[in-house]
Amino acid sequence: MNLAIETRALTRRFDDFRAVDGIDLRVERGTFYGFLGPNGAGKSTTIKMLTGLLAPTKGDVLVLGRDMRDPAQALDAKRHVGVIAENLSLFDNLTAREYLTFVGRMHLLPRDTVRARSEELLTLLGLAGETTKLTLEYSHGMKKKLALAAALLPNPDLLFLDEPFEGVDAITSRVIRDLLAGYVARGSTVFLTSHVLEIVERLCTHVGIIVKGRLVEQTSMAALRQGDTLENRFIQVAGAEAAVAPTLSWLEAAAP
Amino acid sequence: MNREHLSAVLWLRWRLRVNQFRKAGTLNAVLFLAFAAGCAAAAVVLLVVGFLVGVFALGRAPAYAHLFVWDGIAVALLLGWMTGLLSDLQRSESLALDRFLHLPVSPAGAFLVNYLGSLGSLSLVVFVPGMIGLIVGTAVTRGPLVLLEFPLLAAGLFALTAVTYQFQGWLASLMADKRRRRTIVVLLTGGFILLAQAPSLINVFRPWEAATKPVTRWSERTVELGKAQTAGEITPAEFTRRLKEVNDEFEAERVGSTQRMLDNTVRGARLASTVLPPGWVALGAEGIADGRVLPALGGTLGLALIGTLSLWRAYRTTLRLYTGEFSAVERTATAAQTPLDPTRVRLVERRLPGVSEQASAVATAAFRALTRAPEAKMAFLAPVIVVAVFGGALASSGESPPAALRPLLAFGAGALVLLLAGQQLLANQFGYDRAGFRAYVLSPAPRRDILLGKNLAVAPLVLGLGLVAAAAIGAVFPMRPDHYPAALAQLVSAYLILCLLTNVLAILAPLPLAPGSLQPASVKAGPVLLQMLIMPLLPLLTLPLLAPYGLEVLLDQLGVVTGVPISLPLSLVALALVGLLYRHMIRWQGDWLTSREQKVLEVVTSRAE
Repeated sequence: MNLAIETRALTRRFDDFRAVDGIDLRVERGTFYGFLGPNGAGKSTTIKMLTGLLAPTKGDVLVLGRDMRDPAQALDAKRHVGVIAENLSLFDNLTAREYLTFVGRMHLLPRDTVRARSEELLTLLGLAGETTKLTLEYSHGMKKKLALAAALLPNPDLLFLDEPFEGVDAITSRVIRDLLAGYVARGSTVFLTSHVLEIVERLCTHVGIIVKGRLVEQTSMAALRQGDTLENRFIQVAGAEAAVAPTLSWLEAAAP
Repeated sequence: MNREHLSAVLWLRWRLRVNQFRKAGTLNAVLFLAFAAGCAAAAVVLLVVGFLVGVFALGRAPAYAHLFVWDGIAVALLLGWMTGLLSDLQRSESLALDRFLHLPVSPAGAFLVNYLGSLGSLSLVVFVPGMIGLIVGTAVTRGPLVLLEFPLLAAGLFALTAVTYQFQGWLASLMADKRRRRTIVVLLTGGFILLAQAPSLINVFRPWEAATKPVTRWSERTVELGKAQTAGEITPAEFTRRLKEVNDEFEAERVGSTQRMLDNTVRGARLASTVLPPGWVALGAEGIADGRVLPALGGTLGLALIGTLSLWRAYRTTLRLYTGEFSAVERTATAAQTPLDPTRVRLVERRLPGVSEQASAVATAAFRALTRAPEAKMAFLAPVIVVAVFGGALASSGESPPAALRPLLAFGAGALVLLLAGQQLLANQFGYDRAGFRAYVLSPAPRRDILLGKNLAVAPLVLGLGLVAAAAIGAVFPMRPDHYPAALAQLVSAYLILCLLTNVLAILAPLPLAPGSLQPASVKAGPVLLQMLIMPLLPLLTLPLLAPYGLEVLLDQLGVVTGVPISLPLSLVALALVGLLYRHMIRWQGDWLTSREQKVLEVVTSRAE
């Protein structure tokens, strides 16, 4: 099978706490993979390990067939990968164009290509007017958009997106969704985490659910839903039915 | 705001502080406890010392001594207070009003508690007991009238803290714009550094030089008399008589000069204390020592009035700030309408000769960011001041250093700048990147190229300033023509060594910096100690670069070879060797960075975000 991402017994411990506990991910190329889980389940830690931002305590990570624990192979994988990390990777004192130029040059793209793609991306994401603003002065949503532009600029084979829609306005959110759908349709892969289940349900072809560091489900969207909504299935699989039942009797009592 | 609210806010402040130290690790907690114990001990010691000084010295001193002592205390307190203020400005306010204005507390109550909480500063904890001791001690000797200094001191402290609070509120309103916030922090810190360095700068110009002229004159006349006696122009008796005359004249002149200086100083201090409100405490203390209570009563009233007005204005400003009357300046994107010139190659697009595309990308982008970063501008203040102080002292001494010493002075000035500015900008080079360092980790560039690019980015600033310092020394004290390029070669070699050393520190002991701040977000003692231990190695490592010049001087002294430029070719050979070493080591350091980049990232981002 042609896998974009594969992990074997991937584990990350922080002192005694197992943030990620021996997960075996298998993400096929050309899929839109939604990686779901409650807060603190280990989603962002997993993405960090997959992208080389965090070293695993144990286990193997293969990204586009390259072993991320081998420095040379990891560098090679990074040539074909775009990332929006949980905390963004922007320089405070550069403008959007300067930052994109930097990213393009790090991927050894020709100057004209960087210029043309930057212009297109900035226009598409509504940042073309902010030429003199430093990223320091950007709102959170604008920073997310710039991070997305930087992730797309090298035209990667695989995109890791950690909460890409967080803080982004509805119009841009629609633009991004269409863009990502087209990106996957051409055969590229997206690995996405999001708490907005409606978007995941609409976009993703495959889903993995992580709870307390363990991968409890990994299947296609259709197989997971079984005719139900993703939200209901997610709550069931995550074992959170009890948590959603209201139990605050004092809050349900008559208003004071 | 009721008592429950007050205790809740005080508890919150306490928990924030405890958690901050718990997060920073055990060693930090131990160091903090030791520091706190030291402060408490200093407060007790100052209380006792203040009392003893009051009883045995100030109580019996003339009135003007009271003026001097209290003015001195005011200056020291202001310096300590301003240091604390700068520190607060650089970190985000832990208990900003907007964090609890949504709770059922009145804005006025919240403001008052915040103000009272700000009083627990280190400078007040240390200074106030000493001042109390001094007043009580003086009262023991001079009588209960001195106790009037207590309300005067309280009013003075109230005015100081209230004005500061108003100032902070005003700055906060200015700093609603993030870009402007950083500029303000830099300007304030720079101003403070210049103020703290004022004594050194004044020392350069030595305004009291005139006071020593009688000594010079006396010395010259004594020597003349001695020569006249040796030459037989005057008899020994004549010599003794004239020497006595000279001595008497000198003594009278000295006493007169000292008295004049004292009078001038008292007049100056009195004027400054009248014009500047922080001096009103000293003016009142002098009045009380003179048996006059009006200055003290007037000072108390005036300072209390200033404090009340300031606090009221601070409250108004804070309210306006949190009701949104101040907001970030919207920069209109005028450039958006101007199409980019497709033929123009921008700085961040330039390819540097002789290095890879990725190293060029890092170098140009990092240089661009550095030129906008306030911390980079700050990093240059220290070396510029040091060179100005030393250079000024050397130039104003009127003595020209020997020719053999000049190349060493030029190199020394340049190397000093490299050390001071380089340590700031290179030793924690990834700390300044903050979240941007994640872009390096995610990038497919060889880590060797990232290090090379970072070193190249700083070169125009640090090496450039070092060369300017060396050239300035060379201009004031001219050297042989071949010594200029030799100094250039030596400084470039020194810069390469500095880069190798600071790369080690940046990889091994990075420090997290809070966003938009120049202060470490949370510092562990280990990396700081490591930085302090490794940086002093630089002078030792650069010392061999002076060997070519040493050899030239030695051969010249021995008379083997005279006037031949030996230092220049040997310095160029040394530069080539250091260049080869750099080339080899940067590859190894790149591999090392690869293996440690995730740890560096954790430090520079996690704790700062």
